[in-house]
Amino acid sequence: MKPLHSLGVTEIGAAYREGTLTPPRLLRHLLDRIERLDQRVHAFIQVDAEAAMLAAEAAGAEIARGRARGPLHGIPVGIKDIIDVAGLPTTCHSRILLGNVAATDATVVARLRAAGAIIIGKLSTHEFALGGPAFDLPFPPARNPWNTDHHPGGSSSGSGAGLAAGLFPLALGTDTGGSVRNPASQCGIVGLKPTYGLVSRRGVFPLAFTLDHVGPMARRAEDAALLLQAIAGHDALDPGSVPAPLLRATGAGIAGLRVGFVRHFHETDMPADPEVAAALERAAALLSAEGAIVRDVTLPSLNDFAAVNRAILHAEAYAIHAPWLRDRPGDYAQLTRSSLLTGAFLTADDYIQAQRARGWMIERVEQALDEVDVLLTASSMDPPARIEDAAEVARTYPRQARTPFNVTGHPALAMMAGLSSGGLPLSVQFAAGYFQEARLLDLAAAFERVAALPSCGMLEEE
Amino acid sequence: MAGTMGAPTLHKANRMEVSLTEALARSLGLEKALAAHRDDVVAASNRAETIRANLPQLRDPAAEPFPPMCPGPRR
Repeated sequence: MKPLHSLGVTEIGAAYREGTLTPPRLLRHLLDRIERLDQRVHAFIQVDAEAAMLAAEAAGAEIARGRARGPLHGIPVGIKDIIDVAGLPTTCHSRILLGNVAATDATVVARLRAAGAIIIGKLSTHEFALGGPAFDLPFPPARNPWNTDHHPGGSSSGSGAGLAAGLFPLALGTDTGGSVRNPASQCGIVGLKPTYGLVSRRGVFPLAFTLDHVGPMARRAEDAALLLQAIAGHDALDPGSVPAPLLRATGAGIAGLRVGFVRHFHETDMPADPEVAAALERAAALLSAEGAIVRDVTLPSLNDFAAVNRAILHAEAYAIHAPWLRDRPGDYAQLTRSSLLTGAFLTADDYIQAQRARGWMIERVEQALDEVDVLLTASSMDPPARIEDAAEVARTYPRQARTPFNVTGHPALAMMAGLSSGGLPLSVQFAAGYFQEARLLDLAAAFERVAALPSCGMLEEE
Repeated sequence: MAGTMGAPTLHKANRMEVSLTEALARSLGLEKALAAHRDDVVAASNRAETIRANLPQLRDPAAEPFPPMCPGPRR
């Protein structure tokens, strides 16, 4: 049997049913592992061992009585610390919200509990899901398990780091400018930003209302699909929620799939590191070899998308943070404070022009998706920088192609596509039409099968 | 693009004078930030100018902001 911490959700569920594993035994194994390894990766802000063990024992008893609730029953899940878990602090990794204890569960957490999942704790993030790794906060930044001298991406940094290190099999992240897909790219896992409105944001601390998404993160696509199934669905308490049916993964392969390769993102708009560009070419060639029809597609410039994303994000974020920026500016990390203040200097015209351009961009992406089934693009333009090299982190963080799909609301998935010469993950991104998450997850699962992707060395550690 | 959404055009970046940045920050109640973190305030102003300079500007006057007004019950 594989080490318990490397098992996928389906394997864990099968072991529960066969009686070879119980939820408390799995949880004890993971808690021991967190005790040993988290001091290296800092994925957690708070481990909720006691409540998690009670939930594991309850799940074990239900399963033993033949009352299994579904695939997530007895599965530990880590929660990014901008998402409310009743009784636990939601700090947003910030001094501003130390001691802010959530009274109720966010809708996504309530849905996980209803599915029988075990909430294992709250995970590191960039402060208020913005900026980058910072060392002037009350908690240390998460580090990349592939090499702890490097950052793990963010802002859902603890989610990515903990999954790659084998501290939990599933995690929730949030994504406003790429924050699920960045750690997925940098940590060599799978992260999906669903269609805007498919997953409820109620009980999630907002960064930018019209760009925010909650998304599943996992070591493999099949597990991300199971997590999405549990959290998706209309929520009347989220004004952006959409009552749309979620298509179930079909296990369809790559043959016949029409893939639009958005080369200009990484070739001319924002030239990628040569190893990233080579990984994208290999991915396109692999898809072609498996029977996909790959052709080039042109979208608006990545720089246009990025400017629109930034204008909307900073304007909406400032509206949220202005009272604290006026009264407690010293309680933010320097990086966050400087970034949040940007919104003070944008005008109503800037915001409205960005929202007008947004409609044009949606039209352009929809036109492209009339001709192809999925888009293939870069995710990060560079391998993860050294976490303590602030200049290199600042240079590489904005070099990404994830913001287009926050602007348009289309679903997008980032996953590993190989390793750099330095042994760090390289990545690709796939995007599809609205509510076509199943298509993306099917493609990602098929890509995993043919791409022979390595796993993180820390995952192999006992 | 004429007749559809109109081709986007770009602004030219113009840095706001620091004295104006400071006056605007004070008018927004950001005196504490200005006193203790002046460099962050100035950097934020410059960042906003860069974003503005890169924003596509639509020529079609009828292009509406997204999402459109959508009346109806909230629940």
